[in-house]
Amino acid sequence: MRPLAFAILTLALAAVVWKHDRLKHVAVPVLKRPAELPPAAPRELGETAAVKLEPIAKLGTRVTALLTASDGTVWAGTFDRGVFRGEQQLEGNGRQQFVNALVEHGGQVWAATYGGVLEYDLDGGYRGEQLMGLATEALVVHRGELVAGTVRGVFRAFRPEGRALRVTSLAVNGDALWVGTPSGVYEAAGAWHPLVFGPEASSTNVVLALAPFGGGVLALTDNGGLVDVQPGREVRALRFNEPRANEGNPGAALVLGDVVRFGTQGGGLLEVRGGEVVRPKGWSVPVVTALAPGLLGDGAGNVYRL
Amino acid sequence: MSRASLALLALVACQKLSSPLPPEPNGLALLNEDVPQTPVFASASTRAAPAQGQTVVPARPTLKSQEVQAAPTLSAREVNFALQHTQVNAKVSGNIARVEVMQLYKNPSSDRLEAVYAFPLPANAAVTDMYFRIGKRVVYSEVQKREEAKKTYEAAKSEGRTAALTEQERPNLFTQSVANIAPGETVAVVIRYVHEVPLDDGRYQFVFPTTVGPRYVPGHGVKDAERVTPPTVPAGVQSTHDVDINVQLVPGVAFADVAAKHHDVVTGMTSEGVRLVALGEGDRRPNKDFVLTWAPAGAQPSAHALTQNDRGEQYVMLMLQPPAEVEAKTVRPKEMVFLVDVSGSMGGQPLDTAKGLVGAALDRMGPEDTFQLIAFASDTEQMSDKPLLNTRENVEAAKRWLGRMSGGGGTEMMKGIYSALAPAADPKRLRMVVFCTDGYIGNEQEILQATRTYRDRARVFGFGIGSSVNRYLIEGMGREGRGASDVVGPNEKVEPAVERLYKRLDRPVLTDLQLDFDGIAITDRQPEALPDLMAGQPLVVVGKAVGGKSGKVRITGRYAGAPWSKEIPIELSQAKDEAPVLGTLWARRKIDSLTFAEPSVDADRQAAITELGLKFKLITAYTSFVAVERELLVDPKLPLTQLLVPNELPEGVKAEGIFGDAELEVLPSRVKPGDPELRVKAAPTARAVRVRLPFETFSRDAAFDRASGEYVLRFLVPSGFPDGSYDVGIEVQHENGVIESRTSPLRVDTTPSAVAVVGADPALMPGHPFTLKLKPALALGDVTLDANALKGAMETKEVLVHAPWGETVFAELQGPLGIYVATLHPPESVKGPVSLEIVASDAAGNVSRRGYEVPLQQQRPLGALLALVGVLIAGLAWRKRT
Repeated sequence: MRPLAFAILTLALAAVVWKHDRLKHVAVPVLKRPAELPPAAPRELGETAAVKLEPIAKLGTRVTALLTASDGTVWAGTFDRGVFRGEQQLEGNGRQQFVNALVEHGGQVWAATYGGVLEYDLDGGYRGEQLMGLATEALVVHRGELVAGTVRGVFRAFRPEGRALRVTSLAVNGDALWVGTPSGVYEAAGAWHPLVFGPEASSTNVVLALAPFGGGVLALTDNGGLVDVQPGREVRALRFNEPRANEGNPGAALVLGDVVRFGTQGGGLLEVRGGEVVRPKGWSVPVVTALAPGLLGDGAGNVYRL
Repeated sequence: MSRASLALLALVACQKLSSPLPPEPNGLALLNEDVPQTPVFASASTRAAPAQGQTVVPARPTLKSQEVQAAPTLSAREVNFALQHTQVNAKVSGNIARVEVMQLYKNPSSDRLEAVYAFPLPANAAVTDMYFRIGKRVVYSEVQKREEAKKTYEAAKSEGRTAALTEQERPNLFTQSVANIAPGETVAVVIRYVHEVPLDDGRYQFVFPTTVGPRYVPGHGVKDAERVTPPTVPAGVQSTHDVDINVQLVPGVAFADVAAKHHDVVTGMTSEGVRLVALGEGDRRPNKDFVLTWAPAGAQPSAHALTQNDRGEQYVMLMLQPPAEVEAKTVRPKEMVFLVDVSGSMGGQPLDTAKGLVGAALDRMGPEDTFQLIAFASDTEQMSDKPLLNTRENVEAAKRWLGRMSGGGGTEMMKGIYSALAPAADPKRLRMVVFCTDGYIGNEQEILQATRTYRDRARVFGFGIGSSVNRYLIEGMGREGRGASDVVGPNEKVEPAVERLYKRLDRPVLTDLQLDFDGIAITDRQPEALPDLMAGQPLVVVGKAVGGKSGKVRITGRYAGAPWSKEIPIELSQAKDEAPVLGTLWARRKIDSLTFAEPSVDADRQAAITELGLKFKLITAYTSFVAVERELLVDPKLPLTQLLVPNELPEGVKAEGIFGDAELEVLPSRVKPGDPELRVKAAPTARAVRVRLPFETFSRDAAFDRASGEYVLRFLVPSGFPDGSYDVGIEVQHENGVIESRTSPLRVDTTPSAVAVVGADPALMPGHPFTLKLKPALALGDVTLDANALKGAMETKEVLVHAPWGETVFAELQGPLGIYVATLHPPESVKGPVSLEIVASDAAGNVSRRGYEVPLQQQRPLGALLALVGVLIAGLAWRKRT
């Protein structure tokens, strides 16, 4: 064999060896079950002291938001019957009756609804609406301004701010605004925290409620339990043996001192105390849909005083 | 042997082996008793404490909660409703039909079920009985005043007793309610009626309507609009409810040229001489009238009398044929007014038929005739200010004008009536109004009374256009307008109908009819005032016979300008008739005359109608049948679900023509347990929208959203509800009372998407970008998943890739093949092998996570060495050559 031919053959052989692995991966499709990664291991729910519930109203439909206004009046948002001030049903039509959150700000009560943000006087008088027709899931006060989380992003004082994420929940921790989405948690500063990666990953990225916790937030998910999200750390999911306790309810999160409360769709009321997740002993309301200081709403339309 | 032939044989067998249950209260011969049997009730239950002597029907616990929906579940072309089957068995002798209708209701849910079904019957049906069967138990009805019957029914319903209530909404529209059908149970409701079979132009016509067309209710309101506008099966969906019809013609030799107009039938003759007609196997969809016609065999008497002893009284039915057809010596000029319904329900085939009919009728006009064309829907439109002469140019212009008409809008029929009948009469011409409509309205009484009001100005000819027309209205217009009626079905030629019309218009009319008696008298005659008879139209009078046992009646009148008379001998029936019906038919006619005598039925007439209903056991507007199971009880603690049984849209009628284009949108279209919302963008005429979700027992009202102009409903999908594509039932109630039923698919999805790696760099090189290509794919092990899970697994919304050095990237969707491409940036410090995490999410938020190992790039000594050797050899070779 002539040397030039031998050299070409040798170079070709080298190329084949070099490309072997690449060729291997070009095969389509991969018809074998991928190695699935487990989410965080489930754990037992602890117990805490029993809580007394006193029914104070029955609204006939799922309670989705609660607020004790500065004049002491209890306000309630409902799944599909609008806003109640005490027992009085307030003005609203169509999607404005699908209420998600209530906040008092600037001497008015604001209601986040699927039909925009409604503004009421403290006496229940209808003042107007903002973000008309825009489905709004969450409302918080941040740096003295009302911030709305909508399906088209965050609106500060009803002006768009930042990326057009689909917002499901909001929380304020110190000066930081945290944003819950169907794809994990975002810090308003830009950092993104998907919930599904890490050694204790969640089984879902869908965030339904946020509560400030440590330097970050606790995220209540649709069916993956709680997830602890802290800046600079991997997420830590808290998943429970009791399946329905892992199903959160939208907006059902409340911070009371060093205790964080969450409402679930079947697991009742969860409390995070000293790093443990517990439930009041003998708890009898399985579907907790709304929380406010001293108040609790359920899926059957009942409002209780705690 | 065809399946239809087998059905016919089965019918013959059934006739021979008919069961003795239940007895016919009036002694009528039993028809087919082939009611499907259901299991006997269990004798005990632990769910409720029954009262002494009662048995509680247990719920069937095998049904899961998600199967509660008795309404449709999975999307499909065929949809199951509570009504499973309608069996019709009819026996026709002479001009009288005895009919038995069995409706089979089944409760597929785990709730107690109440089924409500608005169903049609012939406009002259005298409903004489109702009973129901559960298993081997038969529960008979009693006739009560309507309010009392309703109370009886409601009380039984609340107690958990199975009960049935039959009410009359219109003479040809009834409501059947069946309460407390136990979970999984089947109830057979049997309704019996008799009616006269009309003879027209030498042919008898037996009609069984199978569906109720969607009726328009005018803006000024109809009190019972809700009860005459039952829901319709959604467009594009076929109900699994079917209808089977068997007709016995007795004696068979008396019926010649038997033919069905719109259905495939098979016929045969039994050894007893009964001619059988059975519906073909492939033609059992309840969306058009069953019309069977025949001619009497042999020579027919031009007049005869039938007598029967019924409830202690002698009843007589006189039948008179008008004189044999003679051509008129002179045909008086006519003013032809063609009134055409161009409302939405007439859109498409029915309107094309009406245009064809009017066009053919225009061509047949006499030289001295004038004509006017009026189209009406929500308003009326006239072709010209005044009637036009029959000239070639005018007729051509009329056809062009008519050709431009298209179906759309409501059916403000009163406006059309006034436009056609109210103008002053032309003294030189007889006004003939040809009224083409499907009759889908709810204010029949108003229309018929207006027709009667103007009867001196014109004769009205009602032409029903379509497969399931409102015959009560069409026939009523012909009767009240001193004209005649006809029905032209889909795909039927219009020329014969036009021929019949002109035969009536141009031939002499038998007028000024009077009855004189000799030896016997007929009182309480129905009709009280004898009508004029047109060519081909017989006179039928029913009354009570008083006086002697025999005699004769002399009928006199004027025909073609000359006196005319006819005598009919009457022999009263001495023997006891086994199945007398003349009393019932007389009562039915009497009720009709009381109903139409005045613009509104006053208290005295209402009392008279009620008395007749109670005496003759007849359903009327004021009397109903109610049957209550007194011994067995369905667990009243079970939730009670009410289902309205929808009617099929009549064949040839377009849903869009009636309901317009409604947009339904479920957002998001795929959901997992959570709280999405449903939006309905209904037509501007919508006034309310109700939604039935597959996981909810009852329908709920959607709220109108002013901002978007949509009806919206928020809902939760219960956790654990199985994956699948479900029908969301949506009822849109329009301002005219019409209820539009539609469905929209809703996908419940808890199956996470899965992705496969379809391309990647062979190894990861520190400091260099690393690209991964991913595509939704299935693992081999997933192939056994059902179709819904497969769909769920294949649909991906976003793909994330996470690397151990802390980088997380969204994969970008690229190219026509839908490849997700993720590019990672490994730092110089990375040490391998590297374990990547890939997370795929779908639109519902379901997540799948998988790992993917990538080697770090290694030195490849063999390849490098070979390359070096190759380069060296090549270099040496080159040097040697130079």
